[in-house]
Amino acid sequence: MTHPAYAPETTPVDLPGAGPAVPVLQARDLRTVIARGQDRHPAIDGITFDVNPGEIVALVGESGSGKSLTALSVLRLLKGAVQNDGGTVTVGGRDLLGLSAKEMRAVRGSEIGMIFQDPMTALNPFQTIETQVAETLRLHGEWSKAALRERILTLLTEVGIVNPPMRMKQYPYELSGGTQQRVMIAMALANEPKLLIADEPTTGLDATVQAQIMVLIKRLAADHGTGVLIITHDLGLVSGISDRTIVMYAGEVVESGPTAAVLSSCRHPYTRALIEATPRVEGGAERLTAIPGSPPELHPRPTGCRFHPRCALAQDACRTDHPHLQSRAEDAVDEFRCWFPVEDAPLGGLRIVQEDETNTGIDEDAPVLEELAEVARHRTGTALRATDLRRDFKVGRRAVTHAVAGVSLEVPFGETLGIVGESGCGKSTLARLLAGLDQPTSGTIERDESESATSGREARLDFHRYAQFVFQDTFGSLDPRRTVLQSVSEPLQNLTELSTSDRRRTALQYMKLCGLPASMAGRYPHELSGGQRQRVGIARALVVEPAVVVMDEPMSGLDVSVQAQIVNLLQDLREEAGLTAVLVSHDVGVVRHLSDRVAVMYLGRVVEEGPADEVLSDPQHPYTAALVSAVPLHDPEEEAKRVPILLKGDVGDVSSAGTGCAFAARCPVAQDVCTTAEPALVPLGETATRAACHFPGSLTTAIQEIA
Amino acid sequence: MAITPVPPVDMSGEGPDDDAVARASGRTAIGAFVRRPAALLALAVLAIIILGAVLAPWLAPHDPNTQSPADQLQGPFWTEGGSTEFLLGTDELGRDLLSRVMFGARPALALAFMAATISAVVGIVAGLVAGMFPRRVGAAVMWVCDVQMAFPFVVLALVVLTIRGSSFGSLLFVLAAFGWVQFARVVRAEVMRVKQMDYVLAARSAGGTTFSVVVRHVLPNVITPVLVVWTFNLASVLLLESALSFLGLGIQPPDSDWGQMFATGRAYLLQHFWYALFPGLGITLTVLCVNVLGRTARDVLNPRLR
Repeated sequence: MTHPAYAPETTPVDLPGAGPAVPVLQARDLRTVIARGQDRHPAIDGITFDVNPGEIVALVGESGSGKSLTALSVLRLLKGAVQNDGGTVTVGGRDLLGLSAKEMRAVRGSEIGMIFQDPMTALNPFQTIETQVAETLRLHGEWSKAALRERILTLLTEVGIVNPPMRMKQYPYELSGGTQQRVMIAMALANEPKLLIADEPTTGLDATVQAQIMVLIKRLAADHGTGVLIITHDLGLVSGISDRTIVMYAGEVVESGPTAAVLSSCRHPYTRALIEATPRVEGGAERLTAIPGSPPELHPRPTGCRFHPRCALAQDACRTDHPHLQSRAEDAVDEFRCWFPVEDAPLGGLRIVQEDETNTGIDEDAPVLEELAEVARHRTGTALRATDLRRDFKVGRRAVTHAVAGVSLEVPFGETLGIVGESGCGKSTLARLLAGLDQPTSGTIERDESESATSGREARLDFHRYAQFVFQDTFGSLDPRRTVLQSVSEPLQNLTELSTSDRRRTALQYMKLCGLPASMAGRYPHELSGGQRQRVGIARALVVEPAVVVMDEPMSGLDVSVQAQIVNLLQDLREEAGLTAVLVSHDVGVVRHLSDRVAVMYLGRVVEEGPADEVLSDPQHPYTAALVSAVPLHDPEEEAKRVPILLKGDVGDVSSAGTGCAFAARCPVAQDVCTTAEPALVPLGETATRAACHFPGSLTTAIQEIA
Repeated sequence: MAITPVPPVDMSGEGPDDDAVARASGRTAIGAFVRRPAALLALAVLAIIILGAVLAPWLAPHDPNTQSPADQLQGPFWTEGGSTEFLLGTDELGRDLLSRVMFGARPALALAFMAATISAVVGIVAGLVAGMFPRRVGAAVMWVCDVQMAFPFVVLALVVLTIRGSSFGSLLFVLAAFGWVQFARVVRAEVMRVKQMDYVLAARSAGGTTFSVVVRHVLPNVITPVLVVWTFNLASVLLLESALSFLGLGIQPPDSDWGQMFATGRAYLLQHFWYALFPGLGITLTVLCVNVLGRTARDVLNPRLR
């Protein structure tokens, strides 16, 4: 890899002897039931699909749609009450459902390779990489010691691991997440399977690492003719990687076809709703479509079309008659399951889902809305100003990590500052510092003079009245033993002088504002859905009318349709209640959608900062350029033109030298000066953007020349 | 990858959700309790045992210490040689066993419940402090725990009871000192886990002081295992007390006590098994009921398990 910065574009596969290729996987009318006592409820309801050699097929849907269960059914990894109930799964000419358990074990790992979501738990922490890859090989064949070692080296090199002889002697904890996932892929490929099944292979990986893994999977499919079945909830990933897409809902296929067709001219309202629910890096969409409610229960399934209770286009026929898969025209390649398919129309131009309090933004009738807006109007100037903020953590006895290494930034009232960066860049630590949940090692955080503090405990309480925090983990951030009302009114109890009845009334009003009806007040966190829990978290943060709300990944971990609810809620709060916020996220699309300004962090430093549109559409710092280019675009045409910049390694792989730019070691356009002098974050020309780079804009220019 | 289907949450927020329905369906702790027949049965049995002990002076057919040399070692009334005058028979001094079992429950139950509860309170406080301030205070508390764990407890009890003399107070002291370490260790481990949770940080962000965070958020979330430890501890204390009685350090004759009766009855086990059987049954039934109630309490106090 002499020029690792620029990915060799993978071309669609043209296998030798092209013609009607024999599919590596043929699923026919596959059925899986969940047995409860005497009842057998179908969870996978007769699905049929092929995966051809060299083809990447994506299976998408909300959680609960049955996509992961489909993969498990194919692999025959069902257990207990979950049982196969007919159909065939043909791999290599044999029906897997007819094999004995022993024969099936031989198939797994040799004919079918598997990649799981979380490489950290899928790898054995007590064995070296070499031992684990060797085990996979030995299970399916005889190997001499030398041949084994040779094969492992080849595999690790093939999946793009830098310095394989060193890596194979290491233990999983010594590798970064991206390298671990590469090891998993190497193990899946060890016996040259015809079929690779990947369940959410890049969820939890950073955008730039996801881009590397995607390119790797595409290349492997092309080079070896491996058929790949990818299960994902991420439509961006689908458009970036797959040739064909299958959309699942309530255990059945609702739409399938070539990815470009499915994404650009989908016919099923559900597919369209999913597409409109995803925020885009390229900007655009005014408002996201949040699908109300949740996928239907296993039993009873809705009559007629299973999507009709959530569909705004449903008519009488949809409520009574179950639609079958059909095509638009005789020879059309795509299929959909809908009586009244959606015509081509600009995204967002149709109202395709029902609206109720679960998928709208804020409740505009809530009396506190006007109050919040009024308070916001009187706040002008700078809400928070951080100056040279640093936070060090001791690691072990001697080593020190500089999680935040000198960050200076401002948050003006009425604006949202987005902070993006990869995991480990210090963005969450910075968020906690800004919200007063952690103390900086050095540096200061100033806030609006008129609301300044005294000292000691009063100062701390004052600060909490001023800045509130919204957590990522919707479960962990709510006390499981306290009801919704207790959680929402807790800040009032500590930070205000209100009486018990006033606290209750105020808390209920803020719950209403955030779309939580009063009937939710007595519920416990486990009785709520993920979206509702995050609404509770937001209501709790707003209830003391703080000047600033700091949010740490408030949407990650939520299903895409639920994520859209929260995005819409925050968008409304920003537009109608004048919310001042700091939004930390790894998702460039979310940040673009919700922020006025954006700060890009790398290894504890802000490397670029400016208006969101400017920074994300014309990035000046090479790291920003790489980050933005790594995110797949939804529009298949735009996606085809996208050139992902592949960085060397991940953040953890490259130790930063004491001097120079922290990004220099991974930077495709670094020059000598970059390793000796650290660039300062300075304004660029007449723009409102600041960047810490010796050669701002050079990478963006270089990409444009290629494209 | 959820294979087990979880019924989706009703997102409408409507439907039968008012308080009356909630109570009836067992959403409150008491509602959940009364729906468990095993728990109700255990509560009933324990209530009978405790009532029998409390009301012994009025209910017992005989004075527990009155000796009747003519009626030594009679069997219960249904056995040969038994009489309805001594329903459960007599001991080696001709004292009424039923009366002695009822009176014997008084020190046994009082000691067990009080010692287990004192242990729990001391252990919870020590564990909370050790968990919240793990560096110095916590290390010191854990050091004391380790020392006590390493020291043979019966030897310690012997020393204390020999020096102070055996009385209710000194027995209580010894038995309470025995149990607190377990509570402290369990609570400390739980506190270390719970205090990492985001909701504790959220409570700080809501302006909570260390004290209010501990009381409102940490304590309720660490109390579950304490209940279980408490029931085990209660059982151990009952047995330990009988062991001390066996060594002659428990409740002193002529006052009766389950442990002491059990220890004495052991000598007559082959010919007169009932002598040891009834106090033994008392210990076993009490331990069993307390265990069932402890487990039920753990479930009904946790909103998720209700």
